[in-house]
Formats: sequence, structure tokens, C-alpha cells
Amino acid sequence: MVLLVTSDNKNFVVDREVADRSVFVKNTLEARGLSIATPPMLNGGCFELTSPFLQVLEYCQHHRGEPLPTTDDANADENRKRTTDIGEWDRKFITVDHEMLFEIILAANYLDIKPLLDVGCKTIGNMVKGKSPEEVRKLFDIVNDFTPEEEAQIKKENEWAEDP
Amino acid sequence: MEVYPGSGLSIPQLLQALEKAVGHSLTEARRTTFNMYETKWRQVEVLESFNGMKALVNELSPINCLPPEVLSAIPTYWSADSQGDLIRATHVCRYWRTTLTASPSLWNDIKSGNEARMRACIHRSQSYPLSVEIKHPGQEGVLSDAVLFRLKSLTLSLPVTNLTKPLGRLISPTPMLEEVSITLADSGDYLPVIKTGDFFMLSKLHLDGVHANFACLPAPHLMILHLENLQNNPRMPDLLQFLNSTPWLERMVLVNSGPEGDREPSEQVVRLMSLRALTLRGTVAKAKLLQHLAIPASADIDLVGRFNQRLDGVMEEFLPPCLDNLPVTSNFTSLSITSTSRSSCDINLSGNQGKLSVTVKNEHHRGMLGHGPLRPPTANLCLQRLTPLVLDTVTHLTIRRDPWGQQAFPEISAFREFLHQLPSLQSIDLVHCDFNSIHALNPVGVNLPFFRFLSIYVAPDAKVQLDLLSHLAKSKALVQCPLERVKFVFGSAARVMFSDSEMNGLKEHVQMVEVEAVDGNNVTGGL
Repeated sequence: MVLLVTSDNKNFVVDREVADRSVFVKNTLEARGLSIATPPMLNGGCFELTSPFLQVLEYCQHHRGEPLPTTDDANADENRKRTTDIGEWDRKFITVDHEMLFEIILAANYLDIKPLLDVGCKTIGNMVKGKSPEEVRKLFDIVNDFTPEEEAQIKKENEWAEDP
Repeated sequence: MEVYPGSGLSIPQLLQALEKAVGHSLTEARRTTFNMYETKWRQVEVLESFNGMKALVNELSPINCLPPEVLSAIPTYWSADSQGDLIRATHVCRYWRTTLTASPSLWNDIKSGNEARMRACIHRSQSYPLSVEIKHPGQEGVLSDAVLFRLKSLTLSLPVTNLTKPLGRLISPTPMLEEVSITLADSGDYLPVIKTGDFFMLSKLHLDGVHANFACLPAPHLMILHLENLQNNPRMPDLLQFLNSTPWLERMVLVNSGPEGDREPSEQVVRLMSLRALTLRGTVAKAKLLQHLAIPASADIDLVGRFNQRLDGVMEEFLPPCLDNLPVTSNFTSLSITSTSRSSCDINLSGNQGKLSVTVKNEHHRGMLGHGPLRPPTANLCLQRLTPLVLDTVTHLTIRRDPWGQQAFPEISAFREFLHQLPSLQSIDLVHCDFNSIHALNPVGVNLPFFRFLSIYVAPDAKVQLDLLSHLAKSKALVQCPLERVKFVFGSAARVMFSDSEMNGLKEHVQMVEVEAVDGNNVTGGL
């Protein structure tokens, strides 16, 4: 067992298998000389995790035991990325409000949980795909902050952006 | 004193007054201009402040809290044909534009389309390796020296008039080039030629209608060679010389390409020890290449020849004549030869661990030749073409009935004679065969010392209840040649009854009996 402490001082005791879904946590624990074979024990690992931690934990619990993606297989990484398909459970899991979605992505990025980062990025990708810039701005509360010169350049790009 | 008429002033006085007036006007004009500039400057200042405020608003937007590495990862999940989405995403706000345009890996896949867009992508890809596709005439200009230098993959599909220039440009250094696919989009009077090129790192080469000076193009890292529609090119000596430089070649496909026969007889044999698959399509004479290749036993060889329709002697045409003289190195595990003409024959032949299966097919124009139905060739006729050297290595045999009910071996004696030639045989699959074949296993005069496994696939349209076990029990094969395993696979309409006595009789001679029913078939018995 591993004790994880969030930045708002909440303690979570999780299985080592669940904690190891995060490459960051796994590496940190291994650097401290802990091993999976160690009998249940509480060891302090203080990680700056905020409110989405519960969500991240739920994801790790659900996917415990699944093989982790290897970093040395570039082709597998490429294949994994070139699709916007999301599994049924993951799709339901990631159906949250925008702020929570971004928080989960930030946490996944910080904790180095690649599959969760994939799910988050694919979700945003699916939201953006096929929309005009104006629609994307409206969706994410963004304002057009381009200078007139940049606008002129963008207008030029628009001429060929839609070409097949 | 001269007075200027009507003014009461002398000319010097008048000039002085004019000078004063002009000076005043200039001062006024300068002040106005200064005010204008000041106004303009203030306007710019206000605009900048306004833009700064907009940028601040965007900074506070939750999505823009994502760091650049995460934001730039989002488009990587889009398919390669979503470049329009990527470009639109750069038009959302300055943060998105700065982040996405500064990520070269998003822009290195240059798809054929608007040339201005292709050039913008090349610019944004910075120094990243490029994958370039050109399918529209007139875009060849994007292949500058700088582009060629970081080219990783090149796909060209152009008419002959537009191909000449880019093929000539391949003379420039292309140290990263790994994949080349060039297709002639029209039917020109001549084959465009790649005269020279830097193919040192090349791993995949696909040429369709485009010839290459193979003798001068060493490609030591080539793994896949795919040539189509090169007619009789490359010639045998050139191809052999080229293949000599490709020790890692894993797959070679020659479709209507390659040497036509052996017009320039050569004794050269090229060893392709990494080859896993060889496919030859075209005329029978293309198969001559086999005589010059030393290929690993595990390589799959697929030959498809098209033969002229002939009523007399058509069977003689089924197999390439070169099979009579298969080189010793042709120790295949799988050799498949198919003719798709009016009569056809499949032969899959295996060496050490593969299988020999014989299928007699007569797919097309059956009975439409005006001289009655074309009689399918018997397996025996085909097998006569196989050399004893090859037959010695066969360990697995599949015999199957063709869709019209033609048995591969209508005569038991022919089957027995054939079995006699397979001393290494270990297993037999009988697929939808009649039970004469089972009787043939009675080893009178047949020595099968290694025969251990028998699988019988019962046809789904079997009309009678087949007393398989009694057939088998009567077969002396089981007595003299104890089997380790007999497996029955029943089609959906087959009904078989096993009696306990038959089953026990079988079990005396067979270590394991397996019964498998397709589609919930009813199989009864004491298994």
C-alpha cells in the first residue's frame, strides 16, 4: 500500500498497483527503494495533487493491472494517437464540465499517466474537430486577440486552408 | 519706391509679409501633423492595451491553462487528413497560433493540395523530417534541395511529363529518405526512369510504371521492394545485382514486372536470407527468377500466372515449367501457384513444417467452351510436375474436394501411389473427401512411418449418416500405424451417430479422439 498526500493535505491509501499507473509516482517510489513485493505498509509520498485527484484515482482503480504503454515503441505510440476513438467506460468517465476536464488533463500530464492524458486530449480534439475558430472561441470562452496585421495574415491563410 | 499695386506695401515688405505668413502656416502645419501622429500613436497605444486586455482574458480562460506541450498534443490525435482542422485551430487565438505553429511535428506531413499550404507546412515543420505527397501536376516545385535533404518519405503520382523533373531531382542528397512510392498516373509512351539517387537509408521502394536504373542504385537497408507494371524491367542481371545489395530484403512483390524468362542465361544465385514473402504476378516466364534466388525455408512464395486458354493440353499449362527444375535452395514451407484462367489449379506446397494441399478449381466458364464441360485436371497430373526432392520434405497433406464435388483422387490407387511418395508425412487433413480416401490409408504397400495425426472434415451437405468409425476401425492403417490423434469436424448439416462399441474400437488404436461440431451440430456418442 502507498500513502499519497494531496496539496490540500488529504491522505489517500491506495494499492501499489493503482499508484503505479502514474509513471511519476512509480518512479518516485522506486527511487525511494520501495518494491511491489513489500508487505502492506504505509510510506509517505507527498505529491501536490489537487481536487481532480479523486477522479484520477478512480481512473487508475478502473484500469489497474492493464499493461502500461512503453515509451520505446514509437510506432505503437503513433498508432495510439492517430485515432479519436474512446472506450465506453472512459467516455463516461471523462464526461465532466470543462474546468474539471482541464484539471484532469493537467493532473494526468503532471503525474505522467499517458492513457488518461490520451483520453483527455482526444476529448478536447473531438470537441474542436470540424468547428470554425469562432465556434471554438465560443465553446472555450476565448476572445479573438489577434492584431490587425495577424488578422490579415489569417485571412490570407483562410484562402487555402479549406482547399482539398 | 516701387509699390505693389493695390497693397500699399513695397515689394520687399510684401515678400517679408509673405515669408512671415508662410512660416506661420508651416508652424501650424507641423503642429497639426504632430497632433495627428500623437493621435495615431495614442490610438495604437489604446489598441495595444485593448489587445493586452484580450490576451489577459484569454490567459484566464481555463483551456489556455493547458501548457503548450499538452495543447500541441491535441491535434496529434486527429487523422492525417485533418489538416484543415489544424489550420483552423491556429486561427483561434494568439496562444493557440503561437503554440501550434511552433510545433514542427504537426506540420511535417505534406499532403498534396494547395501549393501555398504545402509551402507553409514545409516552413512550419522547421527542420523536422518530412513526408511529402505530390499528386497534382505543377506542385513538383516544392521539392527544393532543402526539402529533399530532410525528406523521409516521398509519394509521387504524376503523369509522365511531370515526373521527369522530380525524378531528376533525386540526384540531390536525401540522407533521411526511407520510403519512396512513385506511380505513373497516365500511360505514357515510355517508362520514366530514376537514373540515380541517394537510396542508402531506403527501406521501402514502390515503383508503378516507373523504371529505375537498378544496377546503379544500391539500397543496403531495403526491406520491401514492390514493382508494378514495369513490363520486362528490370532485366535479370540488373535485378540480381540490385538484390545482391539488399541483404535485409523481407518482402518482394513483382507484378507484371521483372525479367521475362532468362534471355541472358546466368548461373548467378542471390542469397536473400531475410526474405519472408515473395510474390510474382504475370506470365509464367517471370517465375524463372526463382532459379536465381536462395530463399529461407520459412519464406512464403506466391506465384500467380495467367495462362492462355487452350482446349487441348490445357493441363500441361497449369504449372510453370520451371517447377520441374526447382533449385535445391527452394526448400519452401509454402508455395502457392494459382492460375485464374479458364481452368485453374492451386498447389500449396510445404517443406519441413508446412503443408501440401491440392485444390482443383475450375472456377470460370465451366461448360461454356462449346465443347462440353472442361474437365478439371486431376491432382495427379499436377503432382507429376513436382520433383521427388520436394515431395520428400512434405510433412502435412491436405486433400480437399472442389466445390463441384470433384475429388482430388478419384482412384484409391492413385492416392495410395501418391502417399507412397511422401515418406516424411506426419499428418493428413481430409476436407469433404469421400471415404475412399480413408480406405486408401490402409497401408498395403505404403510406408508412412511418421504418420500420427488425422483430421476429417465432414461436408455440411453430407446426405447420409456416415459410419465413420466403422470405416476407420476397418482400416488397417490404425492397426499398423497407431495414431496419436484423430479429429472430426462436422459441418452444420452433418449427422453422425457413434456407437459405444465403435468408439471403444477406435480408442484401442488412437491415443486421443477429438470431435468438433460446427454451428451447434448434434453429435451423439460416448465421447
